[in-house]
Amino acid sequence: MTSFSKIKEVKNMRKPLLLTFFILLSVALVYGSADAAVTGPCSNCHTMHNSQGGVQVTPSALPTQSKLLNNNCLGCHTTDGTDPLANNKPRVKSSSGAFNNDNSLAGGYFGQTQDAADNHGSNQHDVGVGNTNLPAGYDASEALGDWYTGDTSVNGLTCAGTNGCHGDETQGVEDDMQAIKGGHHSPSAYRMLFVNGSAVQGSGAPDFEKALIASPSLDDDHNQYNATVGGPSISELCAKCHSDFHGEDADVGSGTTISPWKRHPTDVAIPTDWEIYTAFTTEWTNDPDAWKNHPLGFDGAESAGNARVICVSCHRAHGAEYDDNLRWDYATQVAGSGATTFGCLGCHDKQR
Amino acid sequence: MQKNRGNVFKMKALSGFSALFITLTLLSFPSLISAKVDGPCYICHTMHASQGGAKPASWDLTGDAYDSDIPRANLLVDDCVGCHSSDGAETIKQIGSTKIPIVYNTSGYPTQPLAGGNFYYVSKGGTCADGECDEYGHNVYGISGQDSILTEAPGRKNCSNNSNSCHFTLAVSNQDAYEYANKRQSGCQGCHFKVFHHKDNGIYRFLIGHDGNEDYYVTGQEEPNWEQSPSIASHNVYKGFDGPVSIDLDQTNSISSYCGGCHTKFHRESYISGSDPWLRHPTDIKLPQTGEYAAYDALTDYSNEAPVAYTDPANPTRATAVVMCLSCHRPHGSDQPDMLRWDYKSMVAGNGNSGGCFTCHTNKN
Repeated sequence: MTSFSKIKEVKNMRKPLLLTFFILLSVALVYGSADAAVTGPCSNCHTMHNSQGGVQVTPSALPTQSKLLNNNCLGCHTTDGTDPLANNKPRVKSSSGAFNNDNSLAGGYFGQTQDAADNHGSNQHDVGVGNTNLPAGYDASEALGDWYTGDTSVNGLTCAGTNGCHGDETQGVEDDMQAIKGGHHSPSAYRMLFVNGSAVQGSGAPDFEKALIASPSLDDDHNQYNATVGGPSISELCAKCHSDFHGEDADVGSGTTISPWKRHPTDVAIPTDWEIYTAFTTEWTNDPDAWKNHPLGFDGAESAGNARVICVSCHRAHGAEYDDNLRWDYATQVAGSGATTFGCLGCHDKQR
Repeated sequence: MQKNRGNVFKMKALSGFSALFITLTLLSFPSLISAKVDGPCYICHTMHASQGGAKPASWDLTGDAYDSDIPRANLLVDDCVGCHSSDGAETIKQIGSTKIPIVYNTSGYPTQPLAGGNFYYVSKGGTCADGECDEYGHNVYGISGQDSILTEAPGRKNCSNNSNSCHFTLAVSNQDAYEYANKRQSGCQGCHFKVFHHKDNGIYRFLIGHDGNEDYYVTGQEEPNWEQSPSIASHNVYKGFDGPVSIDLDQTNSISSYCGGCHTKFHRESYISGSDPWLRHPTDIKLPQTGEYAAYDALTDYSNEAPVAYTDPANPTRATAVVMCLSCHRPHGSDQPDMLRWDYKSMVAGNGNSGGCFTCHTNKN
């Protein structure tokens, strides 16, 4: 073999290597998966003995917290101010009621008061109030729906663990902190979310979409949700409790994956004759309102072919200003109005 | 002479006024099909068939109870009959900006039935004042049982692939429809085969054939209020064809061809004759401009007892007026036997009557 042919061979090998590199880089960029690790003084969050000057560090109503934390989930992630990202810490509740549709984070927010009468309040998930009702659409017989098997008679819905949304439920612990173990300092899953022990994929906006929600702009960061069929997708996470509303239940789509649907589908592709498919860049990716009001998930890179409708296309996970945790007031969705191009009608262009 | 000039002037003035009137009348016809449903999504749809963690007890705005299982296809809160029926007297249900035409008033025959008529009497079945209520309309699944008199669509033509498989009844479920009706579609969708509520696609009242060929549909001009208060200025304009026809719906797009899909022998030239003398009352033929028929011009003297179709609904003229099935019948049902627009028994020749048959047959009254 001549030196010339060796050089040529090396050059020929470069192409597939470079191609592979860029593909891997693209995948990594699309689904960074883990959120940024928490940094800062340990004392901001932890107390070694829950005692300072002989006084309990945790709020008086709280027992000593596991993981040596100085508060519980809501205690840390609630603000008495108006900034949903005060001190660069995501806030999911404002004790002063300052959060609304234009001032909150991507997951939405919990109201000032929670309804102990149910755990599916009119506009929020009611956490920590000890209600033991099963979630709407819960079906233990479904493949994913058998998850909510914690001690519901005591705790009801919590933030994490076997009765909550965050953390790895397969650890079998009710304790919120144990369930999200490592999630703050060595994050391995999107927003510490898991489905059957597998990390939900996705890439979270560094500001949790604070800027996008306040005033949508293409310059704003947005979450990238995974909608890979067979998961672990963000919608499969929801299906752990609300399996009847996901593809887990046959009567979502007559036992098939095609229209006519009986319940609004999730994790399904966008029909190819819809504007958000045919004019994907103008009707969707270049519409900042779309990122705020009807985001899509993707089975891979952001493209029309990979786009999927997901649960959080319509709902905000924690709660919202509007009924049913919706991103918008359902009553504003008026077919034939010609003016509404967000929400339902953001995707359903033929009904505008 | 002065008098004659005055008469001529009057005639010219009358002629000019008539022309203006006719022009205004034509201009006031609905210009295009615009049946696209508008209004809040939640009036008709439920995303997950769940409210407050349970199956919704009732239809939000009307309070009507869900009377059968949901979830339903297309995420609808109710089926065709559920949405388009009322236990009151209204024939247009208004919810916000959404108008829902009512075709079945359960408490009585309405005083203002819509163009297609009303299923009230046929829903009763059994004995009516004049006979069997089954005679008063199409027996449709969800409204009435199977017809106690008819065992198949009268005038039915055998199917090409199975002489015993088509057009027996609309009063069976879709699951049972295969051996009876159109491609497993029975009930309302036996006729309104694809219900394009959110499309303005030129298809009149969702009447499209079931053979999978998208060219098989009916055209026409839809009156926005379904003829709740029909007038010369505002009424449906049906599509007719200059027949009698020996061709298919895809070439005529006429309302009568659509009826002929099930009632073939009442429509096709081979069964009704090609000209006078007719063997059966013809449809899809031009209303003659001579003889007794010359006296009826639906453009200037519109009668809801005998509306006509036009070969070009967008540009109706007396010369293109066409006799159609709906000139006499209301497709859903009426307050008369045989779904007629009027009482056939009262049509007595030579008795000085008007209306009904005599709207066209002006010399026979």
